[in-house]
Amino acid sequence: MSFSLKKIKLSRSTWFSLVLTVLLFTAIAATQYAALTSRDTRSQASSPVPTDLYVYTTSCYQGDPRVTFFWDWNPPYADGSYIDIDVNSSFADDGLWWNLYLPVPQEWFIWDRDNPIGGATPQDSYTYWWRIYAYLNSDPNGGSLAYPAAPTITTPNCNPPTVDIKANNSNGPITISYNTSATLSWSSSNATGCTASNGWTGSKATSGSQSTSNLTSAKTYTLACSGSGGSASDSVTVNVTSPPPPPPPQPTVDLKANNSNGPITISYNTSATLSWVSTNATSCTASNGWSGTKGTSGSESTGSLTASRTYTLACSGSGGSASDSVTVNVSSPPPPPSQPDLAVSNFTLSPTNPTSGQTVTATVNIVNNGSGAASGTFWVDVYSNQPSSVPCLTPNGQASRSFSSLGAGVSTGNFTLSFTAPSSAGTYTGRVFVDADCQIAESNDSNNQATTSYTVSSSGGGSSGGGSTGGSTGGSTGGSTGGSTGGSTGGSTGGTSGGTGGSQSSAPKVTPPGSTAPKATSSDITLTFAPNPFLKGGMEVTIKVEQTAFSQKAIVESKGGTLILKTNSQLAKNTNYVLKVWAKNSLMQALGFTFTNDTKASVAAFVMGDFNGDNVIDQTDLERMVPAGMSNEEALYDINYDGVVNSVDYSLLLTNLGKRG
Amino acid sequence: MRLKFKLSLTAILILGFAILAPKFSSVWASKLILNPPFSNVEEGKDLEVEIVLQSDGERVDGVDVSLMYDADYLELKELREGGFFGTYPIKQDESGKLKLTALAPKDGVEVFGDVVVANLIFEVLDSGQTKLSFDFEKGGTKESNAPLHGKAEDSLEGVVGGSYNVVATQENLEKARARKARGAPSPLIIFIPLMILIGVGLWYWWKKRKPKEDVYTPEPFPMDQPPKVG
Repeated sequence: MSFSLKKIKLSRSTWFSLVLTVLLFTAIAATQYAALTSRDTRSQASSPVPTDLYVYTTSCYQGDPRVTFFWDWNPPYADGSYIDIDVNSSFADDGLWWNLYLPVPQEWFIWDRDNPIGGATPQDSYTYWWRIYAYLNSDPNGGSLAYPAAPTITTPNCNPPTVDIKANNSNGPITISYNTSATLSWSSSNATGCTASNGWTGSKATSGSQSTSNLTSAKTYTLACSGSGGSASDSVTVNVTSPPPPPPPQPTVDLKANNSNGPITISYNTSATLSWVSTNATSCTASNGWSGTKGTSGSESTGSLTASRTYTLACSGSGGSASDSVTVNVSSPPPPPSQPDLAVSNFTLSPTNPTSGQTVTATVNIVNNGSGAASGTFWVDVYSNQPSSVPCLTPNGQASRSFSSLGAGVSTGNFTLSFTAPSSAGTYTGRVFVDADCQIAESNDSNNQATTSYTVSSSGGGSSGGGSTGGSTGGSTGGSTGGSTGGSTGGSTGGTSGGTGGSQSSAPKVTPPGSTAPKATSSDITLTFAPNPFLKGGMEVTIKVEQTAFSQKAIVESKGGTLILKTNSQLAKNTNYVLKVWAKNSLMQALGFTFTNDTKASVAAFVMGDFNGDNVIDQTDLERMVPAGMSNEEALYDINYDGVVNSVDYSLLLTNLGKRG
Repeated sequence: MRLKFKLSLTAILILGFAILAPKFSSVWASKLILNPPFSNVEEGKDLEVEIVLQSDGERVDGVDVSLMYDADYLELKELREGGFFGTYPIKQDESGKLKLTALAPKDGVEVFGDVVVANLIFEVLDSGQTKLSFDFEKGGTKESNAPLHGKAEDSLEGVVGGSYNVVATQENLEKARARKARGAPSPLIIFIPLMILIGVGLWYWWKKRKPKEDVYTPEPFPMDQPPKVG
């Protein structure tokens, strides 16, 4: 019978699969073979085979290392079996293995000070090799030898740790100056880690140094170091000298005017009384409205004041200096006594275009615009040609007339004065001047003169048309400036409210993804919550739209989902709002949106750990939780809502430490 | 054909991975174990057990231990905190359930090898074999945990409890016997009410049963005589 592979017609892919399968099973067989070949070839068919050797744990027992060995049997041991557990300080099969024959087959052995192997006990920080033989009583020379997958054991250092902490290289207590620092240095032996307490906190290296902060009171720094052999602690106390004497007190001074801090207003040309007291001052100096050295307290008069003044008093002492000022305003002076105000109310010439040498008649009217009568004689002079303003007692007036008095508000009525037109043809400026001798004290002297021009033609020829002009100027300026600034700021922060977790709340649940959410109407807001994988139960959240009465609670679970908010016409369309969402121990989220017919908003994953509601997760929250919050198992600290406060909640808080809302 | 090839290849690779992967998957995150896992405690001695966290370098924020023990056999005399974790905010021992939480500083701590979380010293109340077991559910957060720093995910992959042969003092043994005697109800207390209940039930059934109706019952007549006619 012949057989040929060529006769078997298989596709290329089938061949490939076949080859892969063969390779796979070859790999499995090789793995099994490797496990088997790790055992000694001296094994006898009649002896049980130790398998799955491993070291359960290495630890310390009453200050010495302890190693627990485990193994199994294949097949299960038969009656009369015994095992030989060997340990050695090197792998060489040099006959120096320490042996222990266990009287009964068993599957574990604790090697320690009380249970030696071949007289040897485990030493600190030492690496050993180990193996196990299994024998039958009937075949003492044979047996199965097995090496564990991890043939070495390293024992821990079980010597008790020591630690020494110093402050400024002293075991202390030391004393340092107030508000200065000290250098802490420490070293330890047989320790794997150190923890600080009392005056400092946190994990520390097994040796090192660091500076204290500036100290204002005594502190004790404790360092506890632990290792496999137990723990030890040391402390050092840093005392602080008494604080320096307080700085001398700052002087004060209080200056008053008429017993008022001012500003005050007094009548024109009256006085005020300045009074002052000071504390912690040794001398005072006056400035601004007054001057000189003053006593540390006293009073004095300002004297009669006709203008506002500010009085400043600076007092100094060993603690510095201080000053105070008071302003004394003076009211307007009383109106002056009634005075006349003589003014020209009419000045015209006739003819207006005289010929040379012709008599010109000036019509003049004088009025007293003042509140007082012009008592005494005053003169009215007319000048035939005086273009410029003339001073008092200017001679060369061509005509004049006197008046003995003129009552207030009274006019002289038109009167005439005549003069002869200049001999030369031309244009001239006629001028009238009332009180030309300046005999009457007036309230206003600027309106005492007036002019008018006229044209003189030569007497031999005809005359041409002419005219006159006249006028006066006057005016006033005035103005005021003023202004005000104002403004206001305001703000509000949302608070937190406690809630009950999970299904105890009557709030609606957020519809998880994949489920059918209620249909939203045009007046609803569709709120989408991101998943919160840390949540193990339902978390009650509060949803509030700022500046409105809208507020709602809901239950959010780990998958997040959708919530339809029924606004019930509490929001106005096309208006911008801010929606805030928070849980009792989460940061608050603020979402801006414009309310339209299809409003949607998304809430990010909640950041948990804000226990005091300040929208920051910081050391304050940590200190609230540990240890008091956890010890009391308050629901506030159940961050993942699983109904238990434990290290998972603490770990969640640490993950979010430093985050802000 | 090409699709068949791909399917075959995928199936082989999946099968191979399933078989070989466990052989190389010796990596584990962390474990809670008891040390020693077994021991024989002599009369008059206390059972001393360490709660040990084993890890291959994970940085954890703390550890929650939920340990169950038989309160008929053991009474927790003392709990000594290990030196590795700084704060122990929760230490509760109620009727055979020990709840313990140890926290690391806020940067977490790296655990290489074995770390003693706490030492437990139990007084032996009764003789026999008793077990200590951790309450642990993988993926759960309520029982035993060792959350990873920065992730807040449990790094515990497993727990191993312990089994102990304990011998109580004579005084404690007598107390245990008295306790058992008080606690175990006499068989008569169960048997007598049961019999009364069955009796009442039978009586009720007898009383309520209905007589048979519409059934003809012939009158007895002597079989050694011919029947009477008419």
